[in-house]
Amino acid sequence: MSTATARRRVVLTGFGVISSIGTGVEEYTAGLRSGRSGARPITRFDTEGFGQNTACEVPDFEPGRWIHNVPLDDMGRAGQYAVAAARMAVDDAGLTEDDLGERQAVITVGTTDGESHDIAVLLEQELAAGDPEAMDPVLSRRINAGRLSTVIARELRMPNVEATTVTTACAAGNYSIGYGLDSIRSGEVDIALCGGADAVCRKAFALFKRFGALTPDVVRPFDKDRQGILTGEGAGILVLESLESALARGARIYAEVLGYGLSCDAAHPTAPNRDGIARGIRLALDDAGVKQEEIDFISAHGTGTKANDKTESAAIVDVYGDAPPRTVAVKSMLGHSMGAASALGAIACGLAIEHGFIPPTINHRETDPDCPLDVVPNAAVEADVRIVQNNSSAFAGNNAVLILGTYGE
Amino acid sequence: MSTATARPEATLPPGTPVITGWSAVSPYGIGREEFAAGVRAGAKTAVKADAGLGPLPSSDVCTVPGFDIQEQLGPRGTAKMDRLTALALVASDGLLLDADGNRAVATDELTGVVLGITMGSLENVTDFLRQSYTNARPFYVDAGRIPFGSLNHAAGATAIRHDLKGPNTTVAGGRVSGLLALNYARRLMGQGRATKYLVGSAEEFSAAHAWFEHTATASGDPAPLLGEGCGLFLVEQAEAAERPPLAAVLSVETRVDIDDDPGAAVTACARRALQRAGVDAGEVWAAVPCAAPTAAGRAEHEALAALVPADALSRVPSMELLGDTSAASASFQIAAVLAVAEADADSRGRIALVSAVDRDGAVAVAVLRLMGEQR
Repeated sequence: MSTATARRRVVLTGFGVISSIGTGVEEYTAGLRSGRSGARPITRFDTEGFGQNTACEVPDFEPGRWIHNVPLDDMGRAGQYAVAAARMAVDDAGLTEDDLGERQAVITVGTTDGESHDIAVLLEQELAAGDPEAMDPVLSRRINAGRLSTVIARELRMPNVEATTVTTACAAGNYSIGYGLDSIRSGEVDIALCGGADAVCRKAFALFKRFGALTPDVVRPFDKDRQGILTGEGAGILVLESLESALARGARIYAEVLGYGLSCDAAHPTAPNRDGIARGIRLALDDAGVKQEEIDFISAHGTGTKANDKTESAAIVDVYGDAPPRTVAVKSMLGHSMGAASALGAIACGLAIEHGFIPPTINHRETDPDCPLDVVPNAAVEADVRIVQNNSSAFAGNNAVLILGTYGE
Repeated sequence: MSTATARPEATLPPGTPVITGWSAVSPYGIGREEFAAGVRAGAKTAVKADAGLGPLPSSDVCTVPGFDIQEQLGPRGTAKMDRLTALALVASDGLLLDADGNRAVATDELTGVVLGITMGSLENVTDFLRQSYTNARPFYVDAGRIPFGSLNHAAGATAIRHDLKGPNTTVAGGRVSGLLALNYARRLMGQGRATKYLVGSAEEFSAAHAWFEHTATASGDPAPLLGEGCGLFLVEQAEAAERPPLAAVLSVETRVDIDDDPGAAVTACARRALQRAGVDAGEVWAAVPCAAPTAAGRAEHEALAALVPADALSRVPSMELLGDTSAASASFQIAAVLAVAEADADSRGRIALVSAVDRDGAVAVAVLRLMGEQR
């Protein structure tokens, strides 16, 4: 069916990470290896009345270290994370502003809530004054999600770009990486900055609390006593580059983007769907030209809710049979960083390939019989990791599955 | 018909996206015919806002006349539905169903949906937060409304309504989002991920949206006249299209204005879009800017005026007539070109250019070749 006329190879040459378990590739790698938890008391908004106040906030963010060209007020917290991670990623890739400049590129940031924290602050201002005129224009100008991508172009001085924010909620990170892959594969661009960003906000916290999906203690994906998610935040931006471009400039290559799959359940607005997830996995394997037995581990969507983990496990077993690959949930460490989640998951996969380890599922006590998986409980393992699958799913029935592999052969 | 414009589709390269159907829910009314008639008449759409909307920064609005969610979609599943989703669903019915409500377009697991938005339903998110701030406990919020607050809900709901299991994506980019959606569909079809796409963009009017826009408006600019609606297209690839093409998408180009010079950004973007399309600026028969009521919108108009023949800019009545429809605007611009073309026998084989500028700095231009028969 494909009418693709070109299919170039695409590799990952730079990572930028803002996360609750570490900022920058080195700290993030150390956090993943040691099974660090990002959970801590919420500082971003007043949690009085919620009866709990834990989230995976980024504790040590210094936007001025990374953002030099655009006034910090021009973006909210999610935008600052996106820009900082993008700056970090191009630095990590060894690309300078001169290298980028007029170069045609794609910038794609995924998000669930965008600057919903600013929207909440604006509403507080209105409620306090009893008048919407009291809303701060600095904030109301920056609430639209499109800015998460355009502000990266402005900071990195890259005018010749397609800046697309993908708001496919909690699968948006993988969606973005997939879009970058397609853009480069076709031969239309050589470089794409892709990933996701979100910031802890009252909206997400109240929503998951109301749904009974907020854990009162810690996140225990695939555990029989799991009680839900912790909301989280951060950004992961990846530099995707055509193999020719990476080789021509002698870039360090973390991994190759082998393929991805998108499936839509077309069934229920919030419930995960076994068939839809399984179809997404099969589409991804097919796109990547990878066989089931070649997958070394799966980085699961693994939120820690009853419904997700059971459904996702069933879908994995549907595709892989009774002996599926080891399946880990980095959300046990990072909480659910929403639109950033699968981007941070993809970076974890790339680092696992680069350094030869599988990150753990922490807080694990007893695996749920409904989740018959080796979740690499509590401690990372050393392993020769060659091909990895990164899952993500979102409300509205959207699934995006990414396959990364070691570059070489 | 002259030989110069005969069978232009024969020259399209394989993989060229073609628009084979469209629908609109707009300030001109609910449906394609209402939109086409309104555009061709150059009619104004501003009305006094319904008192039920509460206090507004400006009393004039360009809302979809008579748009009642339950009346349009029935009682099931709509009690707590946001307006944005409802606008998209009604537009999708207009695209996929015939006048009797039967399916007129075949779809399968390779049928995708991509919808452009600005920030989803701001009414839904602000109502949710208002409940969180004012109810007895901060999580005593209406659970039934929660699914509608997800920024990807309208696209997902469209898939549920019509059983569309292909790639389902929501892109945010305000006024450029309709063109971002078109380019997204072009790229994914080019990689074989879908063979047919519902592509469009949508915006809802609400008091919340109006107040955010009002406070965000630069001093000196008037309070914006806001519109709403949803424009949707059926997009296929030229060689596989199951229906006669109305227009071919020759190019979609994008840029970000990094120097606070939107005019220069539009010029650069339009020149490259024309170059990619392989056509000369002098060939542009219709040029439709987004007509944003801002300095960027004025710069956009000047940039196009310096580039294309003068009569191209007056071929399609100004989008100002619909108010600032934000995310819906680029889809309405394309629909307006198609509406004018289908009433003009001379349009076949001609070139149309659609441009958009957004507050967040994004610029996009699409170049189309009009291919429809006169209706």
